[in-house]
Amino acid sequence: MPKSPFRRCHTPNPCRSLLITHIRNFSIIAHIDHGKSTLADRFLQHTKSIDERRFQDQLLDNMDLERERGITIKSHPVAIRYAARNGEDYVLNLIDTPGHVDFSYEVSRSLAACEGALLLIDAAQGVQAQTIANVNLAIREKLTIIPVINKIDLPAADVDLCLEQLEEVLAIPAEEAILASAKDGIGIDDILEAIVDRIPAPSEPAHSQVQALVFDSVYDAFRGVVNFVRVRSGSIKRGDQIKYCSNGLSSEIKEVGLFRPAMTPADELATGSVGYVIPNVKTPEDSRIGDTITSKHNPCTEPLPGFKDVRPMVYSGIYPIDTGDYETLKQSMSKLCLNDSAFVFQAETSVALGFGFRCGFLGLLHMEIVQERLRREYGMDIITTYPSVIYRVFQKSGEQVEIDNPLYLPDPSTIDRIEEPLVHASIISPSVYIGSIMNLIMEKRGICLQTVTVDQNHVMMDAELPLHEIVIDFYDKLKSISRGYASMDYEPAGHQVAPLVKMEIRVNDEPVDAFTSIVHRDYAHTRGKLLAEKLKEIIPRHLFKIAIQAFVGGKVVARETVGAMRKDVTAKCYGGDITRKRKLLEKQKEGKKRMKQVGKVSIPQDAFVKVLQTKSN
Amino acid sequence: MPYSSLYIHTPFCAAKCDYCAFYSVANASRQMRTRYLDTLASELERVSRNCGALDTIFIGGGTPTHFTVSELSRLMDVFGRFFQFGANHEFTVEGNPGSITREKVRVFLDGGVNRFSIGVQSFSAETRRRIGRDGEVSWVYRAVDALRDQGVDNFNCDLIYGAPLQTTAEWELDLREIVRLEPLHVSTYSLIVEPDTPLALRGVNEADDDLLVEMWQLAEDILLDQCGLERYEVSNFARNGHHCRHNVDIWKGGRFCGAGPAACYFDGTSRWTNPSDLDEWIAQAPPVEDYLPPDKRAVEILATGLRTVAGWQTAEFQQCTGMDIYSLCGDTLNTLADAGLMSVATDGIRLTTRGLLLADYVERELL
Ligand SMILES: Nc1nc2c(ncn2[C@@H]2O[C@H](COP(=O)(O)OP(=O)(O)OP(=O)(O)O)[C@@H](O)[C@H]2O)c(=O)[nH]1
Ligand code: SF4
Ligand SMILES: [Mg+2]
Repeated sequence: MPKSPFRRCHTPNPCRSLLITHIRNFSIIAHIDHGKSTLADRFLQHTKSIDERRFQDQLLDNMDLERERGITIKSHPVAIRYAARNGEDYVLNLIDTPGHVDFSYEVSRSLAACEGALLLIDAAQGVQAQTIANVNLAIREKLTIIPVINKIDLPAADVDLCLEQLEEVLAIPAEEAILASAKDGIGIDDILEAIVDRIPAPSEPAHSQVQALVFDSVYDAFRGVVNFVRVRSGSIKRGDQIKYCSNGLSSEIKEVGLFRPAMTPADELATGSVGYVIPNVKTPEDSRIGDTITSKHNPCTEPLPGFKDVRPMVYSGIYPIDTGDYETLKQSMSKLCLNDSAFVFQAETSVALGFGFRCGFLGLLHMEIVQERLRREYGMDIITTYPSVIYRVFQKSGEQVEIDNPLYLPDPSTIDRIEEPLVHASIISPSVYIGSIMNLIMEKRGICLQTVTVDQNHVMMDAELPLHEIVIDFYDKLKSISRGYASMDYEPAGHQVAPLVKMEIRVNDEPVDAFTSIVHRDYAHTRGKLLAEKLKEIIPRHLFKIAIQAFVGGKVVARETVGAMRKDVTAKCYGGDITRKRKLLEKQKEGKKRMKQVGKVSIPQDAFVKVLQTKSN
Repeated sequence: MPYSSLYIHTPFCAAKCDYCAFYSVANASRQMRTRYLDTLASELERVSRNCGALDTIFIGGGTPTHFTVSELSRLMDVFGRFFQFGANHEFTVEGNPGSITREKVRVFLDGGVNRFSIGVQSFSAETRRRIGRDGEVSWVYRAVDALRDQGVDNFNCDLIYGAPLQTTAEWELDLREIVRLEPLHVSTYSLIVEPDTPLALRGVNEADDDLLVEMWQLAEDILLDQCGLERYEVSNFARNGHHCRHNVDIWKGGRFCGAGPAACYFDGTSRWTNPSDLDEWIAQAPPVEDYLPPDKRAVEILATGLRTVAGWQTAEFQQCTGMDIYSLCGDTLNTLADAGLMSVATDGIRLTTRGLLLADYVERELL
């Protein structure tokens, strides 16, 4: 009986006999910050899968952005080897997933590569909105769920309450739960044993043709496309001729390997395993997430069910600051797309900003992360425009159009009605905040559908809200009125007719198309005033006065003025100051060249970003 | 051509002001000051080899009067050993009210100093506190008494305006108080929040444009009416033509040499700046060169000279830089004139009042 799948992998003719019964594939899922990445750390240490000298907290969060913000953005797979109490060695393929609602698509794709899920619940916070959402995803994939109550070391931990919620809200028997502290390493052994005992091994395939699901990818500057795969049947090794089912493109495999956690070459990826393959593909567009990889010469008859396309919730324009960077930006976006399949883009132009792209995102955090990744990983200098949702415009002619850029809203006289997207939001909050949350929902043009008690201290509210309001600042407001305790999950819930109008911003009588937005008629004045005030702060004084006006239907709804510059002179300019001053002025002059010129007015690049931070009251 | 203008930087102060971005250190030991004077002596000797008789000398800082009487005697001795004066020389020393004494003034006068500059800044205890300026208001009067006592009439007073929360009424009080001291020269500096100073770290903002312009105008009116002090540069006023010749020369692109850490010299082409660090300077780390091609240098000189109210005579600029103003940047000058910032005539150019207030804008356009 072979006891060590890894050791066998390193013998000349290895993995054919890798025991599928000794593989466990699972994801760690939870609400944001409940300790997924920290638990993954403990697994890595406990199983000695990582050199202690190279250990750091939340080791799998290897993107700079993840480390800076302390959150997981991408799913991270890792293969660990575990010597179980029964004396056998197992390969555990774990995938650490993000908890933020904007990245739930990452979670669902990871789950498609697994048979089980570890569900973490923060003992001090209890069941939260994304806990429920993620459990539902796991149930849909028919996965075995192992509930873990984490952070029991916290003084505020209330294990009994969590167990009650587990039964009442999630319908998971309390006795299945394992108590743990990822921080203090409590319960780690029990969880590892439960993984081996409770999560089924991958099922034996019904046929021998190669079928591997591409659940994620990255673009490597040197090696091109790298696909993260779950092998459902057959096996893949270096030199194999493979084919993508979606487009028929075939290629030779240059390398296969495992995540340990860095990509480590292996001889073969056997049935049931999770790993990566590097085909010889240099064009990011040629490889799709959700595709099935099969053998070129002995293809499978049908591809695996892929992933359903996600519809972006939010759109905004992304423009290169330097117009010469357009092509590079396009290539960078294609590469980023490969690693973030929820991000979509399409060419568009703006009078103020030139050639750029209309981009779709799953939410505002997703939008922020994409921008940051373009800046850091691809060194792009970009401007982003005000975000918008997709509106359905029914014209008097009977024609219907979908508008994701406010600029293209047809002439009001031709419009019969406009529909805006709605979301169904589930909010879990301590009961004391219920009144303020109800008010907030109303203020944001929403309706509360029902309120159910979760336990003696918590309620869950179902509400219907315009997506636009969620995009702008609903979540921030919710967090602030509940002192951070309320959590929210949302999903699309159809459309509603609303009196929406196009609001245009003019700077010194020149329309700045990048600032155009669609607003509710009753909120036009408030919104316009906020935008104009913000721009007043951002646009530097010029030699002349600058009028900033918000227009709706040809009428001014708000107005601000940037006074003329009156004093701009260095007070002291003696021998030692001259060089320093000149260099400073030269730099300022360079800065001015990088501003966007609208008529005679120079608008700083960050204006386009800063107006996004304009929160409505 | 030998140099006839010298700047000496002394990098010591009694306490560091919250707005200060000059190179100076507080609480320096006697030992440190001695090492400074040793190094300065050798640097002055080196510098003197390129100098002829000096027309203008300026000892600035820091606080030159922070030294003890005996240290100052040594400094003036060293100076006297290496340099001679031209006819009608101007020799200025800066000082702070707290450390200007009769003895020190005497030492300076004996060494050829004939002009003093007092860092008054403000007569309001509140304002002084807000900008972190040490010292008592009464010290100012004591310092002026010390100067008058030694027969010094030719002195300047520095004032700061636009301090946090300062009103025009308070500024007016400062101006009226200065006028009572009857200086021949006044410098008024609008407070600049320099990066990394305690002021900047406290998040202090510079005052609003409109208020600063009002204060600028108030200074001009009061100083002229009450004391006959006329603005001759962005921040400087003088009575009966008692301009600071040393600085006017520098604004007009004159060559000068320098000694001391952070001191600078200009050889007509490049500007060289000593390291802003005592240890590096003592270790004779080389100065940093700021080289510009002749046309760029000429534009810089043009802009700097435009800070004077008189501006440039066409012939004067030609003589100083060897270039013609109009061929250098005639188009920009016309645009600036159209915007009301400059008056352009065939024999010369100068900034209008609005132009002086926007001199940095003007320089950016010219660069
Ligand atoms: N006291 C205590 N803190 C914990 C425990 N587990 C995690 N934490 C802390 O909780 C915070 C979030 O932990 P992460 O592991 O990043 O949480 P996550 O679920 O991966 O977060 P996302 O990936 O952003 O959804 C960190 O500050 C951890 O140190 C625990 O068992 N006890
Ligand atoms: S006295 Fe002058 S040089 Fe010294 S710290 Fe104050 S402002 Fe700076
Ligand atoms: Mg994480």
